[in-house]
Formats: sequence, C-alpha cells, structure tokens
Amino acid sequence: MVSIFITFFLALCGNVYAASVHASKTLVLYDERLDQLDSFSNFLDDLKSREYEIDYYTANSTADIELYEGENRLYDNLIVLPVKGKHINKLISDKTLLQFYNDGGDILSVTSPGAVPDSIRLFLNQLGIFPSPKGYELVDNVQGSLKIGSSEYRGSRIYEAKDGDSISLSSSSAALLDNREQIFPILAAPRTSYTGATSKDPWSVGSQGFLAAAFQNLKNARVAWLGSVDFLKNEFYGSNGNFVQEVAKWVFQEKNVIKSVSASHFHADGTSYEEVPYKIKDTVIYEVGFSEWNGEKWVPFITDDIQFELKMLDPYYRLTLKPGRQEGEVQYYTTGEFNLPDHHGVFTFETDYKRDGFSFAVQRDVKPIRNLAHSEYARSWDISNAVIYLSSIFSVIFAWIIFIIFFITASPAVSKSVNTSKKNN
Amino acid sequence: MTPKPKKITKTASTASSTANTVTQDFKEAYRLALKSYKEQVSSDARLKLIDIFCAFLVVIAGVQTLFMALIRDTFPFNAFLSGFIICVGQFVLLISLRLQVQEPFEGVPKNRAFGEFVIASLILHFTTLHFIN
Repeated sequence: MVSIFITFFLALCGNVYAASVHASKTLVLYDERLDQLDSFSNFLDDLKSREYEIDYYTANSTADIELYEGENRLYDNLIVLPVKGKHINKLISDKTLLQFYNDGGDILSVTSPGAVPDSIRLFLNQLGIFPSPKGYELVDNVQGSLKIGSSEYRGSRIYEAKDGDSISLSSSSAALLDNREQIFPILAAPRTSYTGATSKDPWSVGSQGFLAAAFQNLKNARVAWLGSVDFLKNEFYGSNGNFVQEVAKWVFQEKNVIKSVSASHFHADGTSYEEVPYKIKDTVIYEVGFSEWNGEKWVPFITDDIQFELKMLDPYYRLTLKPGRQEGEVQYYTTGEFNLPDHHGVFTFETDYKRDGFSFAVQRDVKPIRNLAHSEYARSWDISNAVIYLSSIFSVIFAWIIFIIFFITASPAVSKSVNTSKKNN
Repeated sequence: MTPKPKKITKTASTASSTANTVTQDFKEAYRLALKSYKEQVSSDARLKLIDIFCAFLVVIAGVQTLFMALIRDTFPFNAFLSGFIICVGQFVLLISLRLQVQEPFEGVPKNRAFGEFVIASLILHFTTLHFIN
C-alpha cells in the first residue's frame, strides 16, 4: 500500500517517470559472446524514449550482479537476454530472481534455443512456464520459415492483434504452460509447427506450445517470457517491434494497471456499520472505486464486469456492479440497494477482480451480521395471515360476553346469586 | 353337495337379519337420545344456550384449522395456537358448567359454579391474548 502511494506520489510530482506506474530503473543482463548490444538498439532506444533508466551487465564480466543494496531493491525492472554458460547460475540464482520478483520487481525474460541458463529455467518452471530444453527448436516444415500470423495471438489485453500482423523469427523455442490462472499466454506456436530436436520426441506439437507468455503474481508483479531473442533484434524490428513494445509496456507496468480504492458499505439510508451494526435482512449498499493507469496519471476505469460477493464460506450474493458516480480519477461501482441474507454470521464483503492481463484488484472487508433480538421479530398483528386467528379469538371473547348476558337474563335467580356468591367467596 | 349352499344362504339371511336388528337398535338408541336431549334442553333454556356456544366454538376452531391447512403454512404459529386453544379451553369450561347446571356437584352451589366459570374464562382470555405474539 505504502509503495503504491510512493510511486503514485513520484508519478504525480516528477514527470521523470512518465510511463510506468513505478520507477523505471532497469538492468539489462546480456551476453556479449552471443549478441552485441547494438543489435537491440531499436528496442532499447524505444525504452529510453519512455524515460527508462537502463544499466547493462554482460555475463562474461567478473563483477557481481547487484540487484540489492542491503534490503533495498536497486532495480525496478530486469531484462534477462539469452546468456550462455553455467557462470550465470552463480551470479544470479533462481532464488534471487524469485526474491526480486516477490519484492515487486518486473522481469522480462528472453531465452533462445541454445541458451537457457538453469537459474532462469528453474525460475520460469516455478511460475509454470516450461521452455523447451537446450537443443530443441521450433520447426515449421509446412511454411518453411517461422512466420506467425495474427490468428496465433492470445491475450488480446496485452497485445491486440490487427489483421495482417505477423511475427518473423529465425529460430525460437516454445514453452508448455501450466494451467494456472496467473499465466496469460500471449503468442501461440503456429498450428503447423512442432518443437523438436534430432532423434528425440517433440517437446510440443502445434499450438500446444507458446512462443510468448506472461505471468502476474498476486502482488501484481509481472513476468513476461519470450521464446526467441529475434523478437528484440533490429533486423526483425519492423514486424516485431510493435508487439515487443506492447509486451514491454505491459510487463513494466505501463498499461493494464488498475487499482480498486475506497470500498465501502453502509445502510441504505446512509448510516454506517459503525453507527448501526448490520442485522439480518437489512437493506445495504456496497460500492467500490476503480482507477486505471493510462501511462501518465490515474483515470477512471470503465468496465461492466466487476462483481461483488457477500460470502460466508459460500457466496450468498454475487452481484454485478453498476457504474455509479465519477470522482476525479475514480469511477465508483455500486450494487444498489440489496437485502442482507436471512442468515447471521461473519460475512466477507468482497470484490475480487481478476482478469487476464489486468492487475488483480481485491478488496475484502469482514463484518458480522447479527441475528434479530427477541423484540425485533414481526408482531402477529403485522402479519396478514394472523388476521383470521386474531378475529376468531376476539369473536370468541365477544360471543362469551353475549353468552354471559343471555345466561344471566335466562334465569334471574342466578344473576342475583352471582353477587352473593362473589361475596361468599 | 346340495345342502351346503342352503346352509350358506341360511347363515347369510341370519347375518342380514342381525345387521338389521343392530341398525334398528342404533336407530332406536339415537331416537331415544335425541328425545331425551330435547326434553332436557327444553326444560332449561341455559343448557340450550351452552350447547349453541359449544357448536359455535367447534366451528371457529374448524375454520382456523382449515385455513392453516389451505395456506399450507403454520406461520404465525403462536396466533394459531392461541386462537385454537381459546376454543378448546372455552369448550371445556362450558362443558363443566353444563354438568353443574344440569346436576350440581356435592357441596358446590350452582351460583358458585357460575362464578368459577366466569373467573376461569377471564383467566383463559387473559392468557390467550398474551400468547398471540
């Protein structure tokens, strides 16, 4: 929460970090022996033009990679280009990567068929992304070359493909993806392709494999994996550049960043829970605000699929929220008036907005709903069914009075003696 | 082989004749009961009054039960219970009054019986009214 405020403050005050929701200090990890930095100049220049502050580290240098200074994370973003050799595993272990990622760092990982260091592979495997082993390469014998058409794009929120879009690669590896909600596939392998190595079983067949995938953890830190270094290279930048920049924007929190704020609930007449605690069947209203980062500032987030849940183990209500008022950068969504369930207990008021490609926005509030006190149940004369019972009771009493009168008048002797008998008693 | 069916018809005829006599007896008993009842009632107008009230109570109780059965819901059950109980309780009190009007118990004069009936009824009504909710 604090970090969000700090980044928000920074984003407001200085236009230095205009693009990303957080600061954009970036470390690029590359291997001189494989690719010169110059071959990525278009990609890196695009990043620099969006105020990215980039440091470089080449894997064949002997210096340590300093991701942390004490407890503090030095970089916001990490770009790991293909690196050869086992040396890298000592410099940056999968644990370090995971720690960096858990601390909120965003990682763009690029591997190539020949260079997938163990630490990177272990890290990706923990996320549920399984790149093909060393030596495996994506082959498409039908098309001849690797040209991925617009029908293979997945996850339209990260990159919305236009007709005629295509990706060209000279070589690529493909990954199998775990069935996890946090994984968003971006680009599938062509249907006519397979990932194979000579005299070995294929790693993936057809669109089973993926060339690019994204992962977002519950703290909204992001990872994107690209299966080929050609995505970033200048020679293919004409066809791939747009796609790669959109993926970079997504992974470094420039777009599809949303947050939910000021979730509240109260009685339909406006009194809060603190003033009058809820009891069963009370009429209440729930509302929650949503904002989206548009690259410069927070703006109202407009959508129609936000749902509210009132849960006690099971959801008792699942209501689709309706857009309400707009205040500054926040769009409010409201349930309107609804009645609490006829069930007392400790309930969770929750909006759990998790959509592919968007930040996960979760708001939870746990509040008890009490049962009725003995004096709060409806009285019988408020219940329409009771009319027949009430009228029969009163008719019996009325008939009894009439009976007494007739009984006394029927025998005058008795009526006199009523008084005497009372005296006697 | 032939005498057997004869026997059967014999027994059948005796059975029907006994059935006839039983129904005859019942009819006779019913007639006598009605007659003695009419005599009893005509001798004292207060007994007639008590019987009319009893019949009224049975009808009221029946109406409430029928209503509850029709709507297939016992809610509000308290109101139903008090409505039904006032009928039953009043009925019981009336019958005990009737017994004493007809033939006073030993050591209890008729006037005192009526006084007790009034007080017991008032207690019943009080209780029922408080049981509604």
